[in-house]
Amino acid sequence: MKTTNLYNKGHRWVTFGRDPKKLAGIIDTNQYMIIDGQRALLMDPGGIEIFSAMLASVLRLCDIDTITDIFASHQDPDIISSLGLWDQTLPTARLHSPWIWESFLRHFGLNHIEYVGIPDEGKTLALESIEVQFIPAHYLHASGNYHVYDPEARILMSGDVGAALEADGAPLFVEDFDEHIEKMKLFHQRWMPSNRAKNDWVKRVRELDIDMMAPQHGRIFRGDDVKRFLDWFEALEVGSAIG
Amino acid sequence: MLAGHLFRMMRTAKLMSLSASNAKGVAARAGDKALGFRPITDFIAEMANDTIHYATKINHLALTVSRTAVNDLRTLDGARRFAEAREQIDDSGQAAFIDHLIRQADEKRTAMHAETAEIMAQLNAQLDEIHQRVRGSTIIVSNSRTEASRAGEFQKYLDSIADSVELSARDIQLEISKCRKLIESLDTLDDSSRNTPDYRLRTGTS
Repeated sequence: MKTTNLYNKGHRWVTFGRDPKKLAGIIDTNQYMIIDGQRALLMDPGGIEIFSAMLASVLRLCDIDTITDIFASHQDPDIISSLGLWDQTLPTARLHSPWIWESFLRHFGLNHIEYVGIPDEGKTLALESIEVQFIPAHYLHASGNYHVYDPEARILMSGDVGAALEADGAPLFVEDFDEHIEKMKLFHQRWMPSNRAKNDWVKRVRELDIDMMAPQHGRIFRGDDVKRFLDWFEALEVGSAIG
Repeated sequence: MLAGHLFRMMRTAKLMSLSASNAKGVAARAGDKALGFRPITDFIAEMANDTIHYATKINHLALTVSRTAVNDLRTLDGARRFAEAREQIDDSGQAAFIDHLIRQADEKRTAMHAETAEIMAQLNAQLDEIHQRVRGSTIIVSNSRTEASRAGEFQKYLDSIADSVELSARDIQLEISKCRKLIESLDTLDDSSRNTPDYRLRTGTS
């Protein structure tokens, strides 16, 4: 599994993905981790099938005791079906996830990790030197859904918003936004159910200072491409399966 | 599958219990002619109730075994995935941590296997209890037919009750034998999973 540094000034943002050994037929996913001194937040750690590669990757970066917190943006299997295994690995960690999914996520096996439900309005989490925000992104696509914003690194981990469906081994960053649109269009039209939720999210996210928007699938947006994405997404009609 | 056999066993036992109630009714109407039949009906009812009681207990034990088996598979899967991660780690300190996770999984599985073996023994003991009670039905049926032959115009009713009890007892014995076969096959599975798992061979943690 490939490990890439996104930010390293005092604290560190790392992404894991593009695993050449990933099983065929499994959607490629981007996992993220913030390491802030002796505290680390593992975000959308992925499905059961990539657990071994993820565990090996995170252990190359920090001691296991450093990972004190896990974040799951929503309940999908590619986000968090590895929970039962992390539960055996990090028994004293806390899982921050939408409050509405607690009884659903427990089906993955949660015997030790503490479930900390995120309220509908979102909340903040203090690590060692920074504080991250869990930004509500309900109905994008799950009915309880959050993104992670780090105001200091100016990175927004945007879950399924900004995701693209493309071949394995695709570049990690968007290089040509216009060319990238075709890879995102179907995903957003079909997976995102609500124009109202989408526009509300765009309005709130426009107020954030963002250098990098990092989705859970596909490529990461940098600089002006973040604004290009917000403009494109705002204009897009979603919920395409209806009529 | 075990639950299916137990369900059929209980259903048959309920029919047997119904037969016992019918027999009581007929015996009452037959009066002195079926005097010897009355204690037999009590015996049939007792046998049916005992069968239901033990089948319910077996069902409960089987559910516990099933839950433990699922936990065992989950733990085994975890150990295999820890071992895969271990193969990708060079740092000895981090490798030691993963070895610790694998050992922890092994210990958990050993405890689960011991628990399962104990429950399996209880399961067999409960099946023995049902078997012993139902085996007595041969004598009951034989006595029923003798008593029926003395019941005059009520003979055909009492004969049909004896037939029904005989059939039910045969069905229950058949289900017991199927349950035993199933438990034996579970025991074999359990033994095979106790052999050195592939993850231990790969990581040299056997």
